[in-house]
Order: sequence, then structure tokens, then C-alpha cells
Amino acid sequence: MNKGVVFFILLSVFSIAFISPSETEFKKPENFPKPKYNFKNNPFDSNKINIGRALFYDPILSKDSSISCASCHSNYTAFTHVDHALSHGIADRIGFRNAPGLMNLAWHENFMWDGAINNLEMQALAPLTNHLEMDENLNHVLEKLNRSVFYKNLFKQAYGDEIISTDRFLKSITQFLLQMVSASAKYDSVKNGSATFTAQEKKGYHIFKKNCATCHTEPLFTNLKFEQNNLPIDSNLKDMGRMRITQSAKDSICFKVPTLRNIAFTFPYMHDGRVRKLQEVLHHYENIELLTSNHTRIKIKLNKAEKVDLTAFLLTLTDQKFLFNPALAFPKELLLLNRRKNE
Amino acid sequence: MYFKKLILLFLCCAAIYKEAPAQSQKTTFFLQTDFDQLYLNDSLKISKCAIYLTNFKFYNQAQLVFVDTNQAHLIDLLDPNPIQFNIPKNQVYNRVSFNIGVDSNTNVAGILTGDLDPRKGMYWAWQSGYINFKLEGVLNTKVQQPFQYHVGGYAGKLNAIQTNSFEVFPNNKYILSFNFLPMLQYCLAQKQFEIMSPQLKAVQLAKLLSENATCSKVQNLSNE
Repeated sequence: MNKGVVFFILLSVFSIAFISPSETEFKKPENFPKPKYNFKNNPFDSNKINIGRALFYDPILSKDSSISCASCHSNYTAFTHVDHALSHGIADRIGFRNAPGLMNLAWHENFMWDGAINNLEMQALAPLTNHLEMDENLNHVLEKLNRSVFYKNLFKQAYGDEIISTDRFLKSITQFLLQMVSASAKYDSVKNGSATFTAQEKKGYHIFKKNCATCHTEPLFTNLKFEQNNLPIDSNLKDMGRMRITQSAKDSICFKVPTLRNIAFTFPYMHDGRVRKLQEVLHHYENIELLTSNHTRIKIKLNKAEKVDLTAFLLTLTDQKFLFNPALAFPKELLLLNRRKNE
Repeated sequence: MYFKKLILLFLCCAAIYKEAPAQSQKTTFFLQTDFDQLYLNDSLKISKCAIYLTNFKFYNQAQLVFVDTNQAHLIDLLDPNPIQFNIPKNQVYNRVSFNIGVDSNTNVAGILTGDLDPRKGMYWAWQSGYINFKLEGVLNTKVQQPFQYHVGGYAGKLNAIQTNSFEVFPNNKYILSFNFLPMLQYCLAQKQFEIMSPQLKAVQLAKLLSENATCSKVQNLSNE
């Protein structure tokens, strides 16, 4: 028999025999660049994604078990919180920034409005321990999880034993966060040739490319950098943005550029949620001169008709498949039915 | 699943085999601080003193001969365990270098285990990054003055990591001493009783600790 055929048969037998059925792959959208997240250190596994999903929706992570990650990051609003300008923590505590939408996180190298978090795996620790948000501590959360028969069973299924360690806990949450990929908007269909813009959307797209794309760069609709957009400092919050982290004057009131994907659902806008409507956002940019982080000056002038066209284009970034993806929604079966059986 | 376990078993066996070289030479570091001396006049009470020592490398002149496989050693300086290196007998070395603190690559590497587990209490959750060393206590002057210094920072001008290098030889024991007094004096002179985030003052404290670290030989070990 041909050696190549023998090799192929052996390879197939090995693959069938030894690759766990729970292992899954990250599917990069065709029009997206290479992701930044290192998947080799945390290969996808459906059981681990399941744990991450349960943890994301479980208030067990907060000190008084009253709020979960999803309290401020609701899946129906692109994982942001439309009820509050500023994040809402336990005991009605109010934070000092707007909860950003969560999507396409595999392409980010730092997180939060000021880039305080340097790796997606460490992101969950910030709200978990923030006094104004979940006000917990890592040791106590792990103790609670290690006492839970429900979670011990889930971890055993995913990791081979019941131990719930920091790395397993954070990597599982990370796996779920990485599932939040939004790449099925009308814009994406136009890009892959399966749809066309209306005349108005097309005009809006040209206006977008001319005025907005330097910071809201396609296809992620963010350049992932920290920019300042001439918003005055809120005298109560006194938020200096990126400068808080780098202590460098050049980063004063610079904030991470948010994605425009699903923008119709991610109100209120800006780092402190001060703008409630999309029209008001465009009003802010209708006659403005901005100095970007790479020292280029951008002058934006938008008339009324252009703002309408631009809005039409921005609405093509709504991704219904992402917003209503059942795999990202509250895991009713897991958290309500299975948990009740276990505890 | 069984295949994975088999590979794991093989790797464990390989690791055990690797960790027990037939012939090795030891270099041991006992760690200490200057607190005993300060306790005598009751001027100071230390409640917490922890430090990351990382990236131990042994050199023969300028040539690198041995690298510690342990990513980081988190030392409780109020109850320190010695650090011992078993270095293959054929290696000649006369110098060790190590970092006080965690380097930038490790800081951005995501979740890590062992001494680098954030559960150990040496990680800033609100702003990613390891705390290179912590010193907390109360100064007994006219009034009791609590102080806490959490020194860290890995990026740009706020990078507080320090590298120290000392002469060492095989089969010897050394006392690695961290003298916090100059750092404390600097803070007290400025009435700075709290440093809790990456900042230029933290870099200054890290430099003072590094500059005042010493390494002295204790006694020869018998050849094994």
C-alpha cells in the first residue's frame, strides 16, 4: 500500500481516537485581521466555554450575590448597560465610567476606557474586586465556587478534576468572552458581496470614511488606540482617562476608541455615558477639529443631510445574529435547571 | 483523554528524571532584612514584607551558564524560606543576577500560576500588574503612623523592576539581605506614608531597595 495512504489512515485514526469532542476552534471572520489573543495558551473547549457562560451570568461573583457580569453587560444590548450612564454596582453603588459594549475582544490588547487591563484573561478581576462594582475578593470567590457542587461538577467535566483554581476560573470566563464575535452585520454582508448598501447607506459610508475612519477603523470600527475627542472634563468625575495609567501628559483625557459596531444598541455614549442619543453624538462631531494620537489634525464638518446619511450607514453595523445569539444568552438550562438539581 | 493522561504521565516522569541530576552543585540563598535591628528600639513595627525575586541567572564571567526554570520566587521576608539552586556539576559560575520584581513580558502574559497566582495578593486587579514588593507597618513616633508601600509598575517610565548582580561560587551559602531603612528614611523625609500604584516615587523606592541589597557568604558546603 502507498506510504502516503497508510500515513493518512493512521492520522485519521489518531484524530478520531484522541481529539476530545469538546475541543472547538476560534473562527476568524474573513474580513478581520489576525486576532491578538494567544489561543495556544487557552484552547477552546465547549465545556470551558460553558463554565465561562455560567459564571458570566451568575451573581455568585459579587459580594452580596446581587449582580453578575451580565448586570452591566446585557447580551441584548451588545453587552452594555443602557439603563445607566455609569456602571451600577452592588448596594446601588455607582461607578465612574460607562459600561462598554463587549464584542470582538480577541482583537484587543488592552481593556477598559483607559487600557488599565493588559490581557483579556485578567479583565474579570477588575469589576470583581472594584468596591463600586462587585466588591469581592478573588480568594473568597474561589472559596464560594469550590463549595458549589454545581461548579465542581462543571470543572470536573472540563478539566478532569474538581479543583477550581485562579487560572481555570479566569481562563473559562475568557473563553466565553471570546465567543462574543460580531461580524454578521449588513456591513459585513456588503463586504463579502452577499448584500448591497442602499444609496443613502452608500453616501453615509463615504462620509464615514472621510470623517470617522481614522479612529473608528474598519473592520473593527476602532483603531484600538487612546484618543481625545474634545469632550470637556466632567467636574464631578474628574476623569483623566489614559493619563491615570501612564501618568503622561500626552494621554490627558484620552480614552480608548469604542467600536461603532452595534452602535444603535450601545447607548448611552462616551466614556461617562453623558450622551444618550446617537444624534447628539453626531451633533458633537458636526463641526470639530481633533488632534489624533499620531499627531494628525482632523477637521470634521457635517451638515444635516450628511448626518442623516451617516446614521443610515451606522445602522448597517447592527448585527442581529450577534445580539440575539442564543449561545451567548443567559444559560437557563445550566443555571436554573441543572443547578437546582445539584444544590 | 487517556492519550492526554499518558502524555502527562510521561512528561511527569521526564520532569522527575530531569530534576534529579546525578551530580549537582548547590548555591543557597538565605534571605533577611534589617528589621531585627529596627525592632530593638521599638521604632517600627512591620506587619507585611513580601518581595518577588525573579529571573535568577548564573554566569561564568559574562557567559550565561544556568537559568532558573522557576519563573518567580515570592518571598515573605518576615518568615523567609531559603532559595536553593541545584546546578549541574560541570558548570562553572562566579556570578548571579536576578530581578527584584516581575518583568514586563510576564506582566502582560495573562493568568499565571504558582507564585504568580493573583491569589497570592501581589497583583493589582484595577490596573493589571504585579506588585514587586510590599512593605506595610506602623512607625512609632510621637503618634502611631501607619504606612504601606506597594511598589510595582512595568511599563515605560513607571517600570520599577530592578536587577541585582553578586559574586557567588558553587557549593556556598549566602545571605541575601534587603535593607529597607534607606527607603523608609526617604519616605519619612517626604512624609510619604502611602504608595499604592505605579508612579515615579515607586521607581525611586525600588532603586533604593536595590542599591542597598547585599549578598554575603556564610560558609562552605561540603562537596556532595
